[in-house]
Amino acid sequence: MSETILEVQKLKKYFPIKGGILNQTTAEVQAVDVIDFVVARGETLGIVGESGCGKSTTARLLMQLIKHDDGEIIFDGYAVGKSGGITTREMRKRMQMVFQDSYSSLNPRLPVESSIAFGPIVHGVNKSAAQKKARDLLIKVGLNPELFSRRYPHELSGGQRQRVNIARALALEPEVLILDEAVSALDKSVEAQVLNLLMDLKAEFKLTFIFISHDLNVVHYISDRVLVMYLGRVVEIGDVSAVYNYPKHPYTRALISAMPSMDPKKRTEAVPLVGDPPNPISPPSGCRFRTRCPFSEDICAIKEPILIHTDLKKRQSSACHMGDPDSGHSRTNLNGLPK
Amino acid sequence: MSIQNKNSGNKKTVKRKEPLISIENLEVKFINQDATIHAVNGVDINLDKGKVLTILGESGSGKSVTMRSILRLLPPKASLSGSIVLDGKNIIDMSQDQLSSMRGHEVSMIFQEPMVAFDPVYKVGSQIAETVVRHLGTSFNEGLARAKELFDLVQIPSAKSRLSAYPHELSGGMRQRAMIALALACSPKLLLADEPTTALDATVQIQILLLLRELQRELGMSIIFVTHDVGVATEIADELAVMYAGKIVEIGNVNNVIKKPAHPYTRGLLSSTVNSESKGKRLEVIGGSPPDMSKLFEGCAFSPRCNKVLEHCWGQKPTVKSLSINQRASCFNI
Ligand SMILES: Nc1ncnc2c1ncn2[C@@H]1O[C@H](COP(=O)(O)OP(=O)(O)O)[C@@H](O)[C@H]1O
Ligand SMILES: Nc1ncnc2c1ncn2[C@@H]1O[C@H](COP(=O)(O)OP(=O)(O)O)[C@@H](O)[C@H]1O
Ligand SMILES: [Mg+2]
Ligand SMILES: [Mg+2]
Repeated sequence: MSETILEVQKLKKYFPIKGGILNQTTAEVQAVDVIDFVVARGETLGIVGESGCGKSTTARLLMQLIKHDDGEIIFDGYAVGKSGGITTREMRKRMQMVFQDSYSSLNPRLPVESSIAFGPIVHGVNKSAAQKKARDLLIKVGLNPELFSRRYPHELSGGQRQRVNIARALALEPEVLILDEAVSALDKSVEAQVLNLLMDLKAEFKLTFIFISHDLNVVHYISDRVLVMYLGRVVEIGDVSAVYNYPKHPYTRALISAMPSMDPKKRTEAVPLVGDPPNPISPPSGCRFRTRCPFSEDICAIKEPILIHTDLKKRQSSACHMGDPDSGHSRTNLNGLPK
Repeated sequence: MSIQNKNSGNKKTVKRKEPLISIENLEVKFINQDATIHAVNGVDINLDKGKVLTILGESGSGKSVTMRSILRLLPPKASLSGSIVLDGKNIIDMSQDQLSSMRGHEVSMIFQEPMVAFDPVYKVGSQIAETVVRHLGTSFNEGLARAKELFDLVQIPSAKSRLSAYPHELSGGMRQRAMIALALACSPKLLLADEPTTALDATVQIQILLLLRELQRELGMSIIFVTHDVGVATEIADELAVMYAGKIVEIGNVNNVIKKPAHPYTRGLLSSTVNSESKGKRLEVIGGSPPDMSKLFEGCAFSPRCNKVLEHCWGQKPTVKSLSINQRASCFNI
């Protein structure tokens, strides 16, 4: 068993946009544009960023629901889909995913018990053992099997459906759970219940989480480390307390200042960032954030910044020329930036 | 709700102003063949000129129906009772003509989805101009000039060229600004904002909230702002109303309600909301599920989920109790 459960190397996915009378590719969406990261066994890695930055594409690539153009996914030391590596089928048994839309991820014509038992049956578990497993899992996710096992998805509330989805994802006893906006559609009172449930399940089954959300408060709460994406790239990654308290990349800073205040006496006074995120079809050259960055200089349009460690203990990295003394940017001390 | 200014010298001479809008005992039911949905169950609101009231509540609590009632934009199957008095006129008694001259003129509304407000086949500038022509009787060119003024007001860069864009050609944040411009075209006294930032990214959401705050102060209008997000409510509200199962369970100055919530639902909602201090702690949650709006509750609708529930909460409706001149809640525990 390795310490690193998942490693992503130079992962890339462009979506072709077809058009014209010949239906040829007229442009490409650079959804995930060469990203690297590792996930340690037992940790929760949060992924944040604004809509369209490539979070869901990353998740779907990890699950191999879509094929990557380039790069490699290494699960527990084995390259996925490579000879001498691990097959997609084997990997999916050990890594499962929960989606935001609790409704469309369950078969509407199956009672929830059968939905949960489906995976184990496909993987060769006999029917009665799979059904028993399904009922046990319903208990684990806080739903009484006497009341819920025969129900259909439409007979459940959003929170209950999401609990069923979590049970379904756990049925194959995975080691890694990818949660893509899994609590985002829930009301706050229900979201809190599901977050508590996820923390309990993680401890009980020694799970590793990849927790994707646009909600920075929730990611801060649940994650050990956090990865910040902007237009298909990783701009910052590190320990959650370091990234939230000492964000190094100007985008991370803006994102954190944009979180609404929870204190009426300390409201946000200035807009942290102007404009909308640009289009991933023709992203800016060099640093993709430069068109919205208050510290942008000529070098930012010419050279693409790479992720470099910003602390000696290597717990935080950011991709910004201001973090690299040799970059040619006039500011070099990230810590000295005006707030 | 009107809150007297604490600093005003002689209390006895302070006369209670007429509120801009006064809603009393608003009830809205949707009568379907198989069930009746009790969407709004006795809402009272008094809002002064130049104030922002935020209604905070989870989905299905009746926020949008309350807003649509003010504009009388409900489907025919909706049965509505109570009174809604705007500047001395009861909206419930208005004729269709009176309603259409009020909508978009004295009262206008912005939504989560700006495409609801715009017709996709016309340029945004001419749609705003048309609204001005219709309500203020100006020429089309004067309407266009007003549209340009409004685009500047809502801080749309290169306003002039953006006026001739079609709605889908604008980015999410720009479309939201354009919708605000449309809503402000005839200088409404009251702006109804139904989750206008919910679909936006964080960095764009805060831009829109700050813009609305600035416009509200500059133009001196009143706003009723609906949201399910505590942080958003905190950023925009003067007064905060918390809604549960079609009723306002607590209302008061935003600082009081956020810092010293009194109703068990308000407390539960705030403790369920993850914030920067939550890390490392288990979240204190409200048990159970949101209420079934097809059942009319005899007592307090929060009883099944309340950790302070008393015997009589099930059968009797709690009355409104004042905690201070700045805060009121409906709960037997107060
Ligand atoms: N199947 C697809 N075809 C074309 N473009 C896509 C497809 N899936 C996603 N995209 C585009 O890729 C970008 C990243 O999308 P996504 O990964 O869903 O972002 P996020 O989850 O961060 O909101 C977006 O611009 C999106 O429109
Ligand atoms: N046109 C309608 N017909 C039937 N029920 C409706 C209609 N509009 C809203 N409702 C119901 O009224 C209740 C309150 O809805 P709404 O005001 O939209 O809630 P929210 O607080 O989420 O804005 C919900 O139970 C909703 O399903
Ligand atoms: Mg997504
Ligand atoms: Mg609504």
